[in-house]
Amino acid sequence: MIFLNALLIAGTAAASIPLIIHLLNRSRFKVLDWGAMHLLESALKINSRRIQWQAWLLLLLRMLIPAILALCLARPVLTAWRTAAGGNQHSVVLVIDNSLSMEAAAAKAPEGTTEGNAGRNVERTAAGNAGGSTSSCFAAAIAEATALIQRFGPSTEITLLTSGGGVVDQTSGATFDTQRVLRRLRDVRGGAGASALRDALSTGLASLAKAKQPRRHLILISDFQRSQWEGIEPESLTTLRASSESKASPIEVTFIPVMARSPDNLSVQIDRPLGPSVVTPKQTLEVRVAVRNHGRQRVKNLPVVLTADKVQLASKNVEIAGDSQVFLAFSCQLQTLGSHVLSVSIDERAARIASGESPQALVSSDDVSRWSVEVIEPVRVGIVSTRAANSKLIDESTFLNLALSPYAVSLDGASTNEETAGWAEAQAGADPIECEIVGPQDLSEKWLATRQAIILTNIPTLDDATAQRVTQFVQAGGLLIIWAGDALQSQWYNQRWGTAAAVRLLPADFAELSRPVGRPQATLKIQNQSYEHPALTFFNRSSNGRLDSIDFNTWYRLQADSKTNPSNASPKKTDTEQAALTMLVLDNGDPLLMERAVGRGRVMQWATSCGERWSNLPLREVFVPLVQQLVLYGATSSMPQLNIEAGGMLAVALSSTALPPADPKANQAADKSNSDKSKANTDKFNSDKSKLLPAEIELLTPQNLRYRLDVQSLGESRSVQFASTNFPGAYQLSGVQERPIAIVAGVRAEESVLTPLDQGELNDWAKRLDAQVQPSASAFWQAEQVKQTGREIWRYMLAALVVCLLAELLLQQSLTRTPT
Amino acid sequence: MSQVPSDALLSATDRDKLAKLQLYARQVVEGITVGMHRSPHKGFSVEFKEHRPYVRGDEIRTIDWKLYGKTDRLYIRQYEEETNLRCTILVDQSGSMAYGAKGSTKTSKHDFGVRLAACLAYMLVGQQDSVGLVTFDTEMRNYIPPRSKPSHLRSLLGTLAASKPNGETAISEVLTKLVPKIRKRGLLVLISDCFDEVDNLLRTLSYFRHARNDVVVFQVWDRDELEFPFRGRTQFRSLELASHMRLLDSSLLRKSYLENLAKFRTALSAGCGKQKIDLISCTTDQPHASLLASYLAARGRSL
Repeated sequence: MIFLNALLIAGTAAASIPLIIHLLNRSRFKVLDWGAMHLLESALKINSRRIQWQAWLLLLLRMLIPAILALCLARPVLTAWRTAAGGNQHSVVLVIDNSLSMEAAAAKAPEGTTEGNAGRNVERTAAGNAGGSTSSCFAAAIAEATALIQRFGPSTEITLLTSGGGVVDQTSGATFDTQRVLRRLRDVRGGAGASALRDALSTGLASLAKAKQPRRHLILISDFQRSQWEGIEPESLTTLRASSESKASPIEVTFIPVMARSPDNLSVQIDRPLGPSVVTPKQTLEVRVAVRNHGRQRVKNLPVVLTADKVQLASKNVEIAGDSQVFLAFSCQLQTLGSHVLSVSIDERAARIASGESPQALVSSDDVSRWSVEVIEPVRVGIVSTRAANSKLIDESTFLNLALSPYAVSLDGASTNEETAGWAEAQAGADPIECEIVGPQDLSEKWLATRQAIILTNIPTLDDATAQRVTQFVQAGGLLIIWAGDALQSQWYNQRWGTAAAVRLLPADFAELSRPVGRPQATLKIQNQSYEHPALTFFNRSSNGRLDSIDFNTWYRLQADSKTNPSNASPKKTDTEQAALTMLVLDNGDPLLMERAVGRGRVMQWATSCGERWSNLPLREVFVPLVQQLVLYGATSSMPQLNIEAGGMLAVALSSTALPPADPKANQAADKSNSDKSKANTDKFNSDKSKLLPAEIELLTPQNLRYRLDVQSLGESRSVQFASTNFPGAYQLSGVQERPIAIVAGVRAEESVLTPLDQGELNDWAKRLDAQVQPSASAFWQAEQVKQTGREIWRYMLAALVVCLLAELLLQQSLTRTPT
Repeated sequence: MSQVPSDALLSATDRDKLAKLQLYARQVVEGITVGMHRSPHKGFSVEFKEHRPYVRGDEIRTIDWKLYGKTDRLYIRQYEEETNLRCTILVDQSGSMAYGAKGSTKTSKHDFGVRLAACLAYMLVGQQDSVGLVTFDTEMRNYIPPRSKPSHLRSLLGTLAASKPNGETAISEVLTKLVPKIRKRGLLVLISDCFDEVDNLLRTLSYFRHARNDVVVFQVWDRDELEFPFRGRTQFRSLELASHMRLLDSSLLRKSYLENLAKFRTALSAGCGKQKIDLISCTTDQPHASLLASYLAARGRSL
């Protein structure tokens, strides 16, 4: 134990005062001649011991009171509670949650003068977009972080991580330069994507495991949204903590919550259709929008605006009751080819002011939702049929043609009718797919060059030259869909394109014909499951059609080779030449539809016919979206993924023809504002690839930062990648195509729900990570002070003093109390 | 046992005390008995019992002549004979009765007891009753047998005036010795602080009760003894045994002293109640007149 005011310990000498008074009183007494000595004696006999004991206790209490008071004033520090050795040598990983939910108004203001200054700084930079009079959670988090860093000494190495939209190491590893960390902290912006807390914790713990300083801290400053934590497996955190544990210098994990003041928030989300985001110039695009009110107050006159490439297309006003959502539908047409960003925004601030609410920090990043749509020319498909041209017979090609180009087929019949002529004109070209039915003999090289996909419907065989041309068509990037049928000669297909062929196209060989076992009328259905193949995810929403409604009575058993992947796993780019995927499976386990990538194209092989005899597939309404999705997927699979999750990888595959001429200068210097991550990418790939690199592939982020991206080659495929998509918004990639490609990074709707963990849940999570929960930076430092120097115990001594005073009073009363 | 003191044996101070005591007793008693009728029959009972035929040898004066005139026969009027009350007053003059005398203007317990005894004697002698007196400490110091002559009062008061508190208390022993001296039943009045073993005291008093004596105990207290109003460190020096002293913190002891006192009084009161002994607690600041009046009233009720 040590004393902060050691001189005041001398005050304990005051304990002798009651003793001296006692001794002085002993020698002063009066004499009384007394008669009733026998009463006195018996009272003494019974109580003398108790009275003596109580008298001594009273004396002790009276001596203790000045002694404790003196000790209290001397401010004792109990060093036995000092648990942390190592003094001021710390390794700190500071994780700041800069997800968009942190833009909400904080429940408490940042404390302290210096912290307040820091709070004002970040208010200007990070939370300025909120523009409210109250500070946001993010501003509070930055203030807490600043207060923490400022008190760490110079021998502290600090790593600053942000977790919004993926983990970003803001300081590029640990640094002793506190000022640099503070500068980086000022530059950190809020409103990023969903917080990757588990990754951040994992990265932080891994970083600390390598740290050299004796004291190691992982400090997480977050709003502890329930939605963020619900996605984390509790056991995984326990495992993570256990794996990073070191007996020599344990890692101390601290949570500093900066909770949102209220769950009031409005958000808008475009309900993107599943499947490829492509549209033709004449196709009307339906934009479904969900506007949600997460608070309890009804919001009136909320303007909802649809814009395409920053041009306002439509606007609506909605009224939303508390804790509910409203669905809106906009329709528009996009004329220009290339990618377009559709965005739907709401003006939450205006609506709140109009409702008479006081303006405060609002989550503004979820007030706009974006959707990147590629406008393409209609996909040109050739349907190969043995049916004679201009024949009125209905065969497989008729069903396919109707399903792929329903408007065009309808218009053929309606054009003679004068009443519908206007409608026909309006709908002309509304189909995303243009079909042409040809015979096998028409598959000339010239014709194939105009097609993006060809569909063989129950074609018995092809002659060698045609088969060769079809093979080349696929290898050059075309889509080939083969439907089986009663005329199909499976042997020819197997020999020509099968698994044993010299040039293999088919994912599997056609084996024998199969029928359901049992009754003659028995049928089989497609296994009902969640479809993971990108062409079929469209059908995971049951309103888009039910694939398990189709009855199959005849099919070829498809015999896949040993390299066929039996599961519905996503295709691996490294093994595209060989892997065959089963897309649909019948109830008995037989594959129904298989896919295989060949060259730059792909082949889809149906085990059944698209006629009505082998199944009722063409008669089901799901047939139309099914074949359209397959064709659109196959024709657009080389297109980049235009809509990604914030924090996800932005990747664009480059076709050889699309590459602009090489420019070695492009690799010399990266943009000044490039993140360290993309810098690392640049360094990695600018060594010997410079000759192959195209010039000026640039990426413009939503924060108007420009990055120069480098091409990464893997075998024959080339691509550009960008990982720092932490902030939601549109990323413009120029230099790949004539028009810039707009890729939108979005945020899950759950991020807008501002419900924090309650105290019990927070403590549970803290327990799993063996973490301490501290309400603020100052509380962290108080606890740290206790760990380093011990705990001041004057408060306890003051309590003891009060207890002594009370005890003295009670004892005194008890000794002199008169029995009634 | 000392002889009855004569005037010659009394000192001038004692004589002065005696005169004052006599005056005080007369004032007190006359204050109580004023207005009471004096009986014209002296030495006889007035309670008529029956008539019986005259036989030879009967006193002529007992013949009821009025009845003879009516019936022409001689009848004797017979009366219920009423013996005089024989009262023995025991006054404790042990050391503990001296409390309150020194350094104080108030009456000591002994003085109070002596005056009470004088009042009683005066009152009883005044109504032709026999009154005796015993003063004692560890031993019986004076014994005056009961007599009813008015001149007897002087010797009683003289003895009382001359008594001085001294020595230890041994009430039960003294009373035990007194038992053979009181042959006829009568009234026994004990004036004492009763600072003795309660059991012994009650046992001894029970002898008198068995002999069908009425026993009245005046327990004399000083108010200090009942309230223990002392504070601070005090050396309590015994009034009975000079070598016995205690240095104590009165404040700390008060609680247990008062508890003990209550126990003592409860035990004595309960024992007396059981043996139908009248126990009258009195403090030295009480006026004797009211005490006697209340006592007489209580006796009147009980008879």
